[in-house]
Amino acid sequence: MKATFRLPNTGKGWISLGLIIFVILLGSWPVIPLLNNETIILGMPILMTWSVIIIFLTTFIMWFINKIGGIK
Amino acid sequence: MGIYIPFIITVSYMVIAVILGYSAGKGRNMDDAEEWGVGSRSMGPIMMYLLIGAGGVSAYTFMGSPGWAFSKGVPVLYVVIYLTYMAIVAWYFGPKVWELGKKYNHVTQSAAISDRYESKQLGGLASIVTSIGILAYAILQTTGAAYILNVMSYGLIPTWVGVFISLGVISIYLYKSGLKAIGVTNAFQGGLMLVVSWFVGLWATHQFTGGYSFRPIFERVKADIPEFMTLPGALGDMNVTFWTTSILISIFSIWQTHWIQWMGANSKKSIKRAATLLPTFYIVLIPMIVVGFIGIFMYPNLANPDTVAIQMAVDNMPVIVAGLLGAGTLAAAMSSSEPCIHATALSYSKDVLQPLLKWDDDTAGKWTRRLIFPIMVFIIAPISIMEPASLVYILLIGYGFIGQAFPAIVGMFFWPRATKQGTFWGLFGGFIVTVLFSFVYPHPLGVHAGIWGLLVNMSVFVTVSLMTKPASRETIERFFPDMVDELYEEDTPTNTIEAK
Repeated sequence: MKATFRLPNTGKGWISLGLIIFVILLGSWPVIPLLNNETIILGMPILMTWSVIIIFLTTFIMWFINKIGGIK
Repeated sequence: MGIYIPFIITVSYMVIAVILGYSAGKGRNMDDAEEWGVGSRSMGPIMMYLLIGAGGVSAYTFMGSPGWAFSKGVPVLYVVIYLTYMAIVAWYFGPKVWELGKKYNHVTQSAAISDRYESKQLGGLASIVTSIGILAYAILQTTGAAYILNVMSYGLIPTWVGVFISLGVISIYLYKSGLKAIGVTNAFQGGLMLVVSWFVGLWATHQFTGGYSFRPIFERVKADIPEFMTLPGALGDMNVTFWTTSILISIFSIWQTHWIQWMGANSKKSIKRAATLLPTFYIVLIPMIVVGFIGIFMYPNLANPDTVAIQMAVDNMPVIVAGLLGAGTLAAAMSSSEPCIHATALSYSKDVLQPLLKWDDDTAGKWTRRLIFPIMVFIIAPISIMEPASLVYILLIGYGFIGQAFPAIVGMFFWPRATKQGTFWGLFGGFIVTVLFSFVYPHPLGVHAGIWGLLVNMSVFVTVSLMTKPASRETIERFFPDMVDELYEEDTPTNTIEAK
């Protein structure tokens, strides 16, 4: 009796998974410390500007994966 | 008379919501659980966008988020990020959940769990325990709605009356039109919130700086109180580890309410399209967070940070703007509490009472929408009126538990070897650890209690599953048609010998 997990089975599937992990990392531990300073960008604290960027980047990545058919 | 204009605007919003919600279910048989529960799966992408978006944006947007900005600073932004990532969850799981539900006639998350693990008890248990968190959330929103009515009426409406007014309004259209009403009212509430949030944010900015740029506000924050500009924030309680793990546990929490909302879509494509654009809805938080930062300078001695935006509107803005903020906050509270009441009634009826009392579908359908009344009268109203301090604890436990249901979902979509015993004991272990690390020894090493719970849960889930018998071949075939042969490959010859 095998106990394997379902994983992506195409190159596009793996690329899609990689992109999702990438965008989650952008909003968490490895990246946030790099931006944790008092800089003001576009009139807002850098973390606020970054949050807005993440909003649009996440939407873009989901749109892109829909486009390439990476996740059925 | 002029001072009551904000109150009149707030009440007008309620009247419009009732009219819209009541007429949403016209000409449909709402004694049918499918119709009342998931609106006959008929919602397009725009309706889904507003349904999920407005459902996710609660009274927190207008009270909690400016309050957090006021007391902590930038740590509040973790909410913007986790809501954005929750859209990924809707985008990935939503279409899969919808397809399963359509194929096998599940309406709720608990029904899908019962089906996958061949255990009605496990489904019923999941329904009852996850409802603790969902009802606590509904109670918090109802308390918020009652508070707004109290402030806008200058104390004329006491809290207990406000609780009954807001629940009464919701009950009228929820009983009449079910998920259809939630869809239509959320569309209206979502639009209202987007407009009000930017309007109030820009108004406050102009009043404070003379222009519309946020820069002078943050230049001053940077000069006078720089600790508000970085993590761990002014209260020092949100370091990067806690920020990250709080976001992660939110990603793993798939609410019963979300599940049912996905079921209401008219196609997989509608959910995918709506979820793809969903993050853009959460821009609504940004101007309200800016209002919180302005409040730091305007109300340095404010006792309750959550009231900063309302206080600012009532004191300094034209009555119409204050009224719009009242209506917007009420809309945010109601649009988040009504899906919770709806989902609990639907799940209690279909997943707990129907199997327990052996109801047929007609009886379950009739009782489903009637259940909203006892839920409101005996659970939500009394606890909202009491406003117990422990409510936040109930909510915390609820959140922790909702996250602990994630392995059950893993077993539904990714791992055919998962068993009901593994799911149950994982859930149990994870829940205990979450409670322990929420209250007795809070968040060890700065890691969110729910993540500790999930680590234990996953380990137990996998270990116990490998030690116990998986679901029948027939069930696995329905959930994992492409993996069933792999799972049962060693059994096939054995079965053949037995057959001989």
